[in-house]
Amino acid sequence: MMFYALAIYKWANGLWMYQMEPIFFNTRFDGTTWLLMQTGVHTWLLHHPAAYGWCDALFYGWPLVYAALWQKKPGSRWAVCVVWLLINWLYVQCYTLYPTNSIEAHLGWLLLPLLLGAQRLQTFYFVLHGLRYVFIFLFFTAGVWKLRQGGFFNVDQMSGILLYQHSSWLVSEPNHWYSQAIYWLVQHPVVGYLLYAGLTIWELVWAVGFFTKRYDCLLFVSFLVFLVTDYALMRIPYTELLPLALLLLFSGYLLPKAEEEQAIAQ
Amino acid sequence: MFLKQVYRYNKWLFAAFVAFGVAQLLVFSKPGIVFSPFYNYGMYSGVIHIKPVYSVTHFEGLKAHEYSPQEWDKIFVTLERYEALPQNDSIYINHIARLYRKIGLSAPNIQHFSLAVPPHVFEAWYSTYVKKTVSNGALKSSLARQTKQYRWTGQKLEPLP
Repeated sequence: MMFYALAIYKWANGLWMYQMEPIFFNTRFDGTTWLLMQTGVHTWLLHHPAAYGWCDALFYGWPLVYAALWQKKPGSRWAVCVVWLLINWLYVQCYTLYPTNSIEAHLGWLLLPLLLGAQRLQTFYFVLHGLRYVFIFLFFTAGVWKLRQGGFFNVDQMSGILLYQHSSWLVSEPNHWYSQAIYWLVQHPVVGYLLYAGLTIWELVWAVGFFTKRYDCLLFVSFLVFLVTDYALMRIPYTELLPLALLLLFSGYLLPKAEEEQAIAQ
Repeated sequence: MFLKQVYRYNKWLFAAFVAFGVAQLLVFSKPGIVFSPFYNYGMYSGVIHIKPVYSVTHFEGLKAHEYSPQEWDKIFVTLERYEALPQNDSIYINHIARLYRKIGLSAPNIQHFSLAVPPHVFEAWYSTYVKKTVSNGALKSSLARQTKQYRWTGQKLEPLP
């Protein structure tokens, strides 16, 4: 459901591959991507733009295949998910080589088929929690990076970020209330810095998730707040991370026993 | 302890989890290159000061508030990415080809890592791309594009003469 809500949102913003119709790519510092690039699939697509629609159809349509088969043919679940993983990896790797957005934001699409391919309930439980740790690591290390690379110790940090991020917006509409709000923050670097420092501390607090699941609901709610405020202040949508965030809501379930699994199977 | 439970359940799954964790920590410990799906999440972590001058592109008649962040990025990030195309060559020569030589393999086909798009080809494509984005599919007359230098005055961005 979440996947298709995001699919509609992306389609409405012209972000499907057939809508972007890219004609070039940017190589990134990713060893796995370099291996894929050797196959030339990303350049083949550039020279065969009619295939963009087929790529979108596979990427957005394959979950329906999974949904159709998961109860009728549970034994085929693993095979369907292997294909799903392959489709997602090829699509996301190519899509993010083109001038679209970052591959990091698509982490959920690269990993979630692993969860849904679990044949046993207990495997599902453990993979869910493994992905939960990945999501917690994402935010915790975002905070660590701000300490490590020095952004946290620069009082002008938020002012610099806002001007860098919004220069085209500010020049386009200097008298708009949004521009005035951004300019106000830039002119008051201490206020901006407090936002940046507060964000860093919030990210570091995610470490609590490595030790207990008690606060997962709070972490989820705080993630939603982050999503909205980051969209409003930075105009950066992190909506693609929502599927991973949802795992926090399911972490409270206990490890199913083998007898429970057999009862469900019957 | 979570890993203990995984070990008791299935040793292969335990090994996969440990391998994933070790790989992610290795990527985290050595900034620079990543290996999907092991990334570093350091956006806006480096020190960023206010610059004295900003080079800003804008389109005549384009009102920012009428577009979603994604539509706005489609217009401007695409331009930035095109301007960064020459970096493909640098990454290939200084990193990819060098790495392959280091491990005793011949360098991969450069055409898969570097792509030349002449400016007139890009401009023709970009013009249609922007028109589709700004008018939700219906083509409009061309939007004049300018790149100017702006200085930060302490209050706002002002164009340099």
